[in-house]
Amino acid sequence: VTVKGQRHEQAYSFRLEDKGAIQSIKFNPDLSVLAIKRNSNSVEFLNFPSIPSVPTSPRSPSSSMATTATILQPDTIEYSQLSKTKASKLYDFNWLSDKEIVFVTDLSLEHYILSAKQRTLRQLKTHELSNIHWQLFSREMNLLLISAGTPSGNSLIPFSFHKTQQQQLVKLPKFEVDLPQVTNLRSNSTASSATNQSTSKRCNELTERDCMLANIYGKSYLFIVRQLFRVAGQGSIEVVLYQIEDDHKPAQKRHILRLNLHGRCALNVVDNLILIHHQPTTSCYIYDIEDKSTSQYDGFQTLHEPLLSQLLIQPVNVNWQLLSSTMSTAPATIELYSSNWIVFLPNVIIDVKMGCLWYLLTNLDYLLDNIPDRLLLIDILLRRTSGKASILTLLRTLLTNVTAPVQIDSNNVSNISSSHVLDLWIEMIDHINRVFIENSPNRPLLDQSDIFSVLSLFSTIASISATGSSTKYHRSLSITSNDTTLDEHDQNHSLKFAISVVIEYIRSLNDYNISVQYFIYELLVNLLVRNNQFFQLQQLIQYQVLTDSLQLACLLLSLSNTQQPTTQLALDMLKRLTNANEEIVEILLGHNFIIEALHFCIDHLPITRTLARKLLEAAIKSDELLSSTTSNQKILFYTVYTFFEEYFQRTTTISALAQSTSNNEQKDELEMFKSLFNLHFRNQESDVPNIQ
Amino acid sequence: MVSTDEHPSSKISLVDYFIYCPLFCRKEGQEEQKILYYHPSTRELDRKIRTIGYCEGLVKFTETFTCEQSCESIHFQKSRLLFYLVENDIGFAMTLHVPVVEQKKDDKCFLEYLDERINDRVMLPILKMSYRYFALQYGTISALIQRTSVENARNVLKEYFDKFIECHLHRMIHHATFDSSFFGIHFISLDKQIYLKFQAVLRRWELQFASLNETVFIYRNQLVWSGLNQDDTTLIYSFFRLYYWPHLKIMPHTSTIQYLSVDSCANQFNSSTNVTSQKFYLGSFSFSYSVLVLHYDSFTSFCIFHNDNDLLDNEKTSTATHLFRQDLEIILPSFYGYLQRKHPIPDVAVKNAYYNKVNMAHSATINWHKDLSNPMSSVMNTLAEDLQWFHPSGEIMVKRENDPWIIAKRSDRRELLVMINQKGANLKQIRGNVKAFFNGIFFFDASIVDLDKIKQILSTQFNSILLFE
Repeated sequence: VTVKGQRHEQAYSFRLEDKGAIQSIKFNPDLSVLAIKRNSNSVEFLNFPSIPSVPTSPRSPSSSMATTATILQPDTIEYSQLSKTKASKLYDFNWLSDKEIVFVTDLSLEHYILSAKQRTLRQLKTHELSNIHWQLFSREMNLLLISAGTPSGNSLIPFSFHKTQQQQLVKLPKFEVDLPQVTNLRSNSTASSATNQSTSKRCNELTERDCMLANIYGKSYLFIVRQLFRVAGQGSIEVVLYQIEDDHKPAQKRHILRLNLHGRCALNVVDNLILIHHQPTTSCYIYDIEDKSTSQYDGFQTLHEPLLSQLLIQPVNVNWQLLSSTMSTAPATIELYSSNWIVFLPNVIIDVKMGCLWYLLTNLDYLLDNIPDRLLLIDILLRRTSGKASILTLLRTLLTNVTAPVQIDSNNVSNISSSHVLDLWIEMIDHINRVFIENSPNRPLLDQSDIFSVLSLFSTIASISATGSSTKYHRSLSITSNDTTLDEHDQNHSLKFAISVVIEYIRSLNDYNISVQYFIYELLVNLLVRNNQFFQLQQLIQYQVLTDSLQLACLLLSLSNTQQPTTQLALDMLKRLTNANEEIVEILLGHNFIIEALHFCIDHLPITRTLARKLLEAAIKSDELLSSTTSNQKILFYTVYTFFEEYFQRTTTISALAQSTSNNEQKDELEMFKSLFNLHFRNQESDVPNIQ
Repeated sequence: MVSTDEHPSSKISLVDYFIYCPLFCRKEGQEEQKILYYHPSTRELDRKIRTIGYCEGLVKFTETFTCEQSCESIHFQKSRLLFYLVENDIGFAMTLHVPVVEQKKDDKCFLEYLDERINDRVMLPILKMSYRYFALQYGTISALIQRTSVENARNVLKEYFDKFIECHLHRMIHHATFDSSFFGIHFISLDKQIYLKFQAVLRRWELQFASLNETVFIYRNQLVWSGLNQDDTTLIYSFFRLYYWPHLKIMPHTSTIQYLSVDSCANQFNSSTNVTSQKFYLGSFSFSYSVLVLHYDSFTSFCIFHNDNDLLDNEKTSTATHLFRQDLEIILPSFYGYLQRKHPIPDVAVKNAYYNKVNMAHSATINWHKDLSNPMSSVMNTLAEDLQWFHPSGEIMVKRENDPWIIAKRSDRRELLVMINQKGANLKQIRGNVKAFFNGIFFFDASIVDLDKIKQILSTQFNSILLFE
């Protein structure tokens, strides 16, 4: 018997001796032990050597089956474990972890721990239960669901176990699932052809085929598919979701998904969306149990209508060449929704005939075109793990509606008003930031750089609008500006819109206490400057909409060249930062505010000789500038020098003794100034009496 | 030159106010043509012509000495003449009567003219603003003349200025102080969150109209937001204070949006649903804008449209204003909550007046008519005038016999007058106080005055701005 294993990217194959028909075969999670059930009361185990780690390359799941499979050499010795209760019938077994296994018999659950080296199993615990019908197991959800007790199979007992904390199988409260009333039903069930049970009996019974376990939005649910027939020939499908909670409360019926169709159907769960594949109509119906618009709450449970209807699965292009080992003639197309399909949760589809296995993925960009309500759309996208790219596309197209309406077709949504867009933006950005702050798993987190990538589209648009003020942009636009006949007011309007959008984003970030990053501010400042709104920039800084930062202060300083007095804003900001005193001195010196710089130094900086030198140099330079216009007699130099002379004379008596050597070196720095001072002033003083 | 017929008075008063344009006098004997407006109109023509001729000559004469600034004022013993040249060759001028006191010396009564009571720095802005108010409503005079005729322009000027002088100018001159001369802006004090909420409301409102350029949003008499440039904002703001605020001040809180106009607010508000807009000339006064003035619950907003298209549809405007109101109502509770929360106890001993030329921010805790005696006021005016000579910074400290200390300080573009009423404080203590004062926060621009205790005022004020020493 040749067995093929398939685990995501890598296929394995190995050989087994023929010891009779295999009823069930399962690897443990790390593929080191294979469990085989060949008869109804024992399970054989086979050890495998550890799998060589093969560098995996991403492949489409369907094609990976055909790739060269790694040959595994199993251990030759098999060992087996018999079910403890001899009389009982072993239904199935489940690997709880690499070393734990649970046997499900018709009378009990048997929990074993396996030692692969010693090739033995040790029993941990046995849960005696009467009349077990079937089981459902999900390792992802840490849940084992047992149908036991009543003959109709609708009495369910969930067991939960812990992956890391071993050796515990906790019994959760049992619950009963209400069955559709017999009188209203006529049998035409999904799996009736497969089961040999009579049709009338099946209605009263809950079978394994109608039940599924899946995790949606971090909660464990039991899905039950029910066919409802009210009138002959017409019916509907209901999927009932029972939430199984860990807190020792019986599972609750929470959601009902309704589909006004009848016939065979199957379920998939992808990215917390529930997909109902309806075979007769070969289409998909998508449900989102957190979406409010398609659901209504009746006090006990929420009823859901499909979010999107009649979708088709986009087929994967199967590389038939690779499959040719098993298939001689390659069919041109894949028959979608064929009756040969077997669907497994969460998102696996197997075509038995073709021998293909697919993973179902969602194409979220499709939603962009099919859900006109943008707010609903953003909510849906924000619940998708991979929604980020689609959200960014959505935001980008939304903003382009206003900033570059030319690009939109005339019959499209080009007439959407900017105020409407802003309203949408406000809502969307709030939703995005809320999701960001909640930081729940499987949600797209759009941080500021993501949003900035959208907002940066303004920088191109804004430059179109900036006429005359900057020639740089003008040049690049000379071609485009011909067909874009935006007059001054339109430019003003689109810039105003851009500014509003950015300010709203900042507001939203503030509302959620997210500190705004500098590049967002920079964008806003540039937009304001392009629109010549310096006064507005001042107002925004006044109200601290733009949080102080060294970078922002530098940006303001660089702007102050363009005839706008943003220097004051920048200096105030630096002062408020309290750690930028040296920058302040530099700026003051740059403006030739020597005395002011000196005053500032006295109060805010430790006075050193280096500082003295810097100030003295600046004073000399400034004096030269002044002397060209007025009869300045090196008055700044005199002032600064006398201050430092006095200061150092006062302090050197203490400090010079401590650091005489280093001080001497530094003193030399000032020596030049000393001689200069003596040259200019001491001489003059001595001249005065001479003249007199 | 100007001999006053009026009885000498101890108050500053307006003697005459005139507008002239020398270009209209081509030949000798046509000097009358120069006069565009003269107040009082009852004055004999000969004297009007002489006065104007005198001003004209003086301006021309002084131009030969200075290249940068033309002559702005002449001090006479009994009167003060102030000029303001606009639009290249139109002159605005006004003569003020210098207050007098009767003095007795050697048993002889004589009048002493108190020249120092009139401060050019205080009075000149009034003259300038009087022109700007006119231009705001009618555009430039030269444009007016070109559009219609000189005769029509004279009528418009007469109609406007007769009313303006009667209703406002006398009062402005009488109440003129160092403070009022800034025509500065009182910014409201708000925290970031609420401020951004207002922003959201305003921006939603602005984007409703394609032709809405900017909005100026005022709470009571404090500016919340202005989308205009600084000059226009100052103009609209002081226009608001002049024409609307006196009426709005006494108005009860209203729950409906009213559309205001200059004419209607003079007597009664137009509370009908009809949207009325006014024509305003902004920027270089060459382009007219339709301005819609809304008033709702202590909030006034000037909405500047560059055309009427949006406003013609009354229905749409009403819906938009309705939305605007709803938006405002949502944030009002938190706004009023904020206002009530933050009321620092003002330090009675320290009073100040602050002005920042960069953003026109102005605030004052000095009540000029209550706190200051006449000589004090003139000392402060003089100090303020002296501040202009400091560049970039400077400081003067003055104390008269029993008066409080007055500190005048200039730091680049900021001006500050502080009055410290501390008994027995000497210069050194005051100096220490002042130094601490300037280190602290005194961020009047944002008006985020965060004074917990009176004691902390001195050490904490002026924390957030950089004042040169």
